[in-house]
Amino acid sequence: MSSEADGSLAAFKRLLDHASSDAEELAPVTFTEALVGGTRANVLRRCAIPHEFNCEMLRVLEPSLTAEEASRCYDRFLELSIIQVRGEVLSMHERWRKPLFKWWLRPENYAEFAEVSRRLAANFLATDRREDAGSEVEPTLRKHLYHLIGADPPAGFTMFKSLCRRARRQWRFTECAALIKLVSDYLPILPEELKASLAYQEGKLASDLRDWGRAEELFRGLDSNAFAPIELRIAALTRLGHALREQGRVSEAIQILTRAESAATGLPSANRMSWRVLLELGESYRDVSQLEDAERTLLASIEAARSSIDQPDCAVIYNSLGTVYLKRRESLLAINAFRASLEHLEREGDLLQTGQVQNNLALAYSEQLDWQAAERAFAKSLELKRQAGDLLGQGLALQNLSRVQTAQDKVDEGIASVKEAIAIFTELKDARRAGVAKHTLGKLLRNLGDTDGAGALFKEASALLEASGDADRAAAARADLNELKHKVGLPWWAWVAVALIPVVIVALVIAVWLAA
Amino acid sequence: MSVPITVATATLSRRVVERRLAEFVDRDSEMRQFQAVLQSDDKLIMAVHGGSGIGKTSLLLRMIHECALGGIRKAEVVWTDTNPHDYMAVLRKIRDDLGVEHFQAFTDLINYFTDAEYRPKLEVTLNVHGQIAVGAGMQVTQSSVGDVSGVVIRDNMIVVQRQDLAISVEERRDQLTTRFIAGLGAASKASLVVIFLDAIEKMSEITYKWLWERLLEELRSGSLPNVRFLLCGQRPPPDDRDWAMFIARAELQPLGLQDVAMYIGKRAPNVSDAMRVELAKMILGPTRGRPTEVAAAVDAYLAMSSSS
Repeated sequence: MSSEADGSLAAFKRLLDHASSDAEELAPVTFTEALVGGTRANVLRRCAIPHEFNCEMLRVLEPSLTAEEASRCYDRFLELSIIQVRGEVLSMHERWRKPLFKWWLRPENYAEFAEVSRRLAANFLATDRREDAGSEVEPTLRKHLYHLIGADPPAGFTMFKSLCRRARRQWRFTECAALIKLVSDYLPILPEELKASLAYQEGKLASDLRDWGRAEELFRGLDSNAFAPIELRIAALTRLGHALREQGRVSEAIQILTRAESAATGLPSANRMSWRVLLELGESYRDVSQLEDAERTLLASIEAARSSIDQPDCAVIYNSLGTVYLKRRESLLAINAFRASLEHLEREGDLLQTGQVQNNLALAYSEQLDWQAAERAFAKSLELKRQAGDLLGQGLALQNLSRVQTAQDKVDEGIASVKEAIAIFTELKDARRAGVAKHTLGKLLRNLGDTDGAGALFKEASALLEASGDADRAAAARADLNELKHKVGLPWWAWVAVALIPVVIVALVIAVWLAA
Repeated sequence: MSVPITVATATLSRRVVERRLAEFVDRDSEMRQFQAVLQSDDKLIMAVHGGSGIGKTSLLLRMIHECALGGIRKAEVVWTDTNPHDYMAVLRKIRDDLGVEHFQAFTDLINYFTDAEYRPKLEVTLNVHGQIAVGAGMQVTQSSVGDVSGVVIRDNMIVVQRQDLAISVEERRDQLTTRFIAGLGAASKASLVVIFLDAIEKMSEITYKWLWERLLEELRSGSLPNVRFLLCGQRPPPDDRDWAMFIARAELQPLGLQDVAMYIGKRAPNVSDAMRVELAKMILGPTRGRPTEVAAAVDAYLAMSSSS
């Protein structure tokens, strides 16, 4: 080896030793110096602030560069192994970008970082923010948000919440997750209050995805977070109550929601969310059949919704109130509540929930024995569930429809409906519901005198119900089958003959007595 | 930011990619696995996984290059923090890569679900029992789902679904996937198609679930015999025995001393053998054989050598 080679090898060894002995965040700093040297090294480090960059963006990162210098920098960076190439767009490999980004967030570097972020945010300022904006605009908007947080965390966070809210309203949960991930890069510099707010958004997303365990963990964390404002803690408690209810832990939910209600009482800033606390609490009372408490709380929720500046979900409150009345068999009150719910849904143009409320309304009419109204409501519910492609909902609506059709002596229609329900439950491989529907159809056929058909259905129903673990219903189907067998043990004329035997005997006795 | 690409820049970046492909070392067994996936029906999915900097993307580029050499059609979806594709974006990207002409029915339905003004060209049949006109107002030009001859249906590329339909998001997702699968079947009827999914660890949970339970499930059920998927990312495939027989797993390992020495040889052909080994030993320790770090260390060495 030549002495020159020895020298460069020794220098290289010193670099490796230095880089590996540095704190992890400093190793890339040392390396960038070695890779491209002084002035360019700082430009290269700035390339770790955006997720990707091109030649023109180098001048946004370092405005003192001329177009020619930027082009030379770009060509040099392109050659580096820490840079990934996709067409004309370059990005720093995450292995290097992540520690460098963290390094930028250090207090001694933050002023420079914020200034670069401000320029990047302006650069990505989306010109088109329409709600139906196409796929081209979205990445730019995300990049703008990302750098706005770097430049001005509170302003960026406000935008984040607004975008998150919009994405949730549009059922775009992947978008919510992406926004949360972007903001999480700034955790080292976010004020505690914003960190708490970010955790709340994460909790909401976990709830939307029905990840109740994760949602519970996040909301409980906020409950004990001293930095979280009281309004946020009340909101977290409310959503925690919901997560607990969804896991069947209703008593725990009531405790939590009662605490939320107490905290919100008398707190002017919590007025806007009182209706939601009361709604969750009212539904929890209903779930454990504390129906008086449920009614009182849901009526209070309606009252609170009237004075809330938020967009309260009145349709849901009225629907819940209706189900409470239905449980109390106060069908007239239930009908009024469901109608009020439908009015709200119509105003909001929400067709999905309308199907459910129509179904509840039909049940209330059935309670009143108003079969015609019930049939109309079930038919409407069925139509909406068909539009929604909700197969299970269609099956249940058909089964209910069959019941009210039969009650009006429209037996053929009732049979057709229940047969359709059976086809759906069979397609869904829902043995229990298929068993129940077959049992119902068997009873209808029995009433029509088709004992063979009824017997076969009772047998099938019993087997299906047994297989799905519904022992009570399976026993009922078997009992119907046995009764049928018992009845079909002798032909009808034999039963007449048996019934006539005592009459004949008595007649004979009388005849003998008279003859004597 | 949208910047017009200059011819010089495009040429340069292509040259850099080609050079990196030429400098590629090791990973022979993974490339053989990939060839086996392409050549037989035994495994339908290849899952390449490993930590950050272990060389997944380089391997992926090599595989894409192999496809190009073999004339195999491919689609490529890459997740990034600022481009977290949801299922609609995934389906659109694959469609665009493979040819929109095979996916007319899918495009028609995606337009219908996202644009209230749009009138579907094909019948919208949802999962319904009984008689119902779901696609009221549609201009049905055929009685069943299929291609519309002579008509190219352009995607409006709207990402937000319309809210005036009583069709749940789950049902929409299912219907769109069904139509997409039919299109993918048509696109792959005559020859093999490979779909590359990179950085899958950045995929949202909801998209990941859909990928395995819906899209890849079609592959497993045998309805897409000419399609292979290559999944690349830090996240390993699900540890599920029912899936195992369909997946060729490749967990990337760090480079060994020989590989590092070979890489140095490719980067710096003028360096003597002894020096190459010395350098390789020096680099292997602090980089722990992670290809990205090895490459960066060699960059630094070359930069220092040229400046001294």
